[in-house]
Amino acid sequence: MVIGLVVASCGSTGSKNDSSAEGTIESANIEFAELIEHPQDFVGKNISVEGKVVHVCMMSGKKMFIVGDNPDIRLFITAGEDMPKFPTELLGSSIVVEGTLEKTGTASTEPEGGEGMHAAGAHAEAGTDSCETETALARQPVLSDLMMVYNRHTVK
Amino acid sequence: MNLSKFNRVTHRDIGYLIAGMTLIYAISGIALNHKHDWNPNYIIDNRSFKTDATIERESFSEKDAITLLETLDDKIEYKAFHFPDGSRLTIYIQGGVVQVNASTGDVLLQRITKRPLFYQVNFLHYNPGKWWKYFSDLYCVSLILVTITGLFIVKGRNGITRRGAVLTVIGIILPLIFLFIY
Repeated sequence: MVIGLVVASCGSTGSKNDSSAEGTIESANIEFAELIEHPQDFVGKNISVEGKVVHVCMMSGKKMFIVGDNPDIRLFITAGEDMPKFPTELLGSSIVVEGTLEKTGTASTEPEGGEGMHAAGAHAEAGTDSCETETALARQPVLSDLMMVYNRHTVK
Repeated sequence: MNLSKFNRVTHRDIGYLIAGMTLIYAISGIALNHKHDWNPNYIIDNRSFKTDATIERESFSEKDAITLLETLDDKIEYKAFHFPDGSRLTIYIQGGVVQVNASTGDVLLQRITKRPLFYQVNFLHYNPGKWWKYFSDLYCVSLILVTITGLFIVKGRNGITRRGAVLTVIGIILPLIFLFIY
């Protein structure tokens, strides 16, 4: 079994350029700026938005943050139950991500309890503005109370 | 087949079937138990540098980022940059990130690689998908079966009625002690 897992490690768990959770449905393409301007218009809707990945949770891998032209406004993407995890290879990549925009706390998300963004301690989270990403998100004038429940993505 | 033999065969065969899963959960369990002491999924190689480059959020460009990277290591492949705030710059590179404090000139180069074996077992431990969830439910049921059938494998003085009973009770009391302590 151990040999099998080592062999599997030569593959790439969740490191594809294009990935998706199950149950993909039609989505509306919107600009990041449009989302910032009228976020409430898209709540509950399946949308696609392009952005740069500025943070990926390194523990469970279930959280990802993207930004558009404005580096101070992040969109929180949660993997949900059906997406294994976001690969850290996405850091810095421009992606088009598709999912459903929801109010924070209303979706079925993986609880992080002390992991991921909070896993500072001996190994501050690599990749970006680290564990402070969520704090920064909470301070944002917009999108702080929203999250996208991931459906699929494409690397640009 | 009598009940005793059925019990033994069930214990043996399910035990064989779940050996791999048990190792996956046991190895990842230890790794994740100590997640505050180490990163069980990734090996992060940190190297510190200093830069005297002038970095200003308003005027910083891709060219500036590449120039900065070249002073650290020729082999670094640039991806993108981002300012989390006014004084901190993150440059994304292939296989890692470079974090720069524009105020102090401190530069931290972090190379990130997956920790072999642990990355894979932890990935499975975290329930990567719906089907794995059902599969691991089945594993848990099998574990219960192996435990219950295991209690009745041996008869006599080492069986569940004597020595086995004492050890089983100890095994129940130990977690209860922790429950009372916490």
